[in-house]
Amino acid sequence: MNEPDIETLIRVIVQPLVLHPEAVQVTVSETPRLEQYVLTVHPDDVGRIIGRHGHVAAAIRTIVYSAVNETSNKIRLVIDDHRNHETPTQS
Amino acid sequence: MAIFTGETAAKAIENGLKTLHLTRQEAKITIIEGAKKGFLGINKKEAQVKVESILPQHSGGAYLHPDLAGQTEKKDDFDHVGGVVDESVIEDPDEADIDDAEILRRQNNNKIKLNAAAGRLADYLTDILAVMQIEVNPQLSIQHQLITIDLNTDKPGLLIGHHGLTINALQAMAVVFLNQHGIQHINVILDTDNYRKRRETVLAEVAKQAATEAIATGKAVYLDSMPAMERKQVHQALTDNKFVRTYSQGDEPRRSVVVAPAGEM
Repeated sequence: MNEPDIETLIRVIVQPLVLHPEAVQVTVSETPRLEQYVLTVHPDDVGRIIGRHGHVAAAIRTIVYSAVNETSNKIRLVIDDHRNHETPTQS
Repeated sequence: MAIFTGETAAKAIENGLKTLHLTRQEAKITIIEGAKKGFLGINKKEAQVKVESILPQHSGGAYLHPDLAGQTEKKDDFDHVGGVVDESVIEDPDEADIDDAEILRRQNNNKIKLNAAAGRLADYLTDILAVMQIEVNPQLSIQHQLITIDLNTDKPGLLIGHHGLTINALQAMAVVFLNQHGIQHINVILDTDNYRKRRETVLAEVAKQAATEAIATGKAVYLDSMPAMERKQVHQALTDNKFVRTYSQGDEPRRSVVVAPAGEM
């Protein structure tokens, strides 16, 4: 196995940090340019995962991005903050 | 609050505790369904248990509530699982008059709690790095308010990352992990291959050169941005130098040290 399993990596990082580990979901969507991973956690855990000023989110992204080797596709980690579902976006 | 399964209830609990990095004392366990052996493999059913953390979360002086600590339900075949509840962890914050023995006892409890959490932290980091295909052998050293973890690995470069990016991110996650497990105000330092020590030497050199340049040109020298821990080392390296003063400017994560001649305001 040369390719690190990004989905597992995200789970291993996030699950011990949340109150609702069973609600952690990672969905992957691939485009020609990049792989997008969407991390969804329980609404109560969103703050924990993002952290003050996004510090925790930044650290998670750094670790996840560093696991990707140069030859593979670029990846992007999106954290679902449960906002788009409740309030319609302006503009 | 997650549900875990296993061949027997005991195995299911073990599985749950491992995933959540908790010990038996720190979890509230509810058996949802006991295991069924079935007949000749027919009707076989895995046990289901619910595992919840009862550690205080992000709140300063919150200790285990006595009601919670004893709440472990037992059923059928797993009476042998050591469900010893540590009564001594339970404390009453309102209690004003405490004697020396009590203080000592609490200190010891905190020490035990800290050691357990540090062990779990090491497991957590090992798990993350294993997925990244970096095998590590963590060496813990725990002091009063500082946990140092030396991660021995054959790929230190990958672990450190560009300018220490990865190891610093892991260090940040380590602090978050400890907060989540009820331990606040603790510094964590991750090290590998003597990286921190090497970095300190480099930073001291950078600081010295910047000071020389600032004095020679009479102008402030702006260093590259670096994380808080490293900025502190630069400031400290120049505290004894009377001819320059140092301050930081910019916003994280691009905050950097400025070395200015002492006279200039």
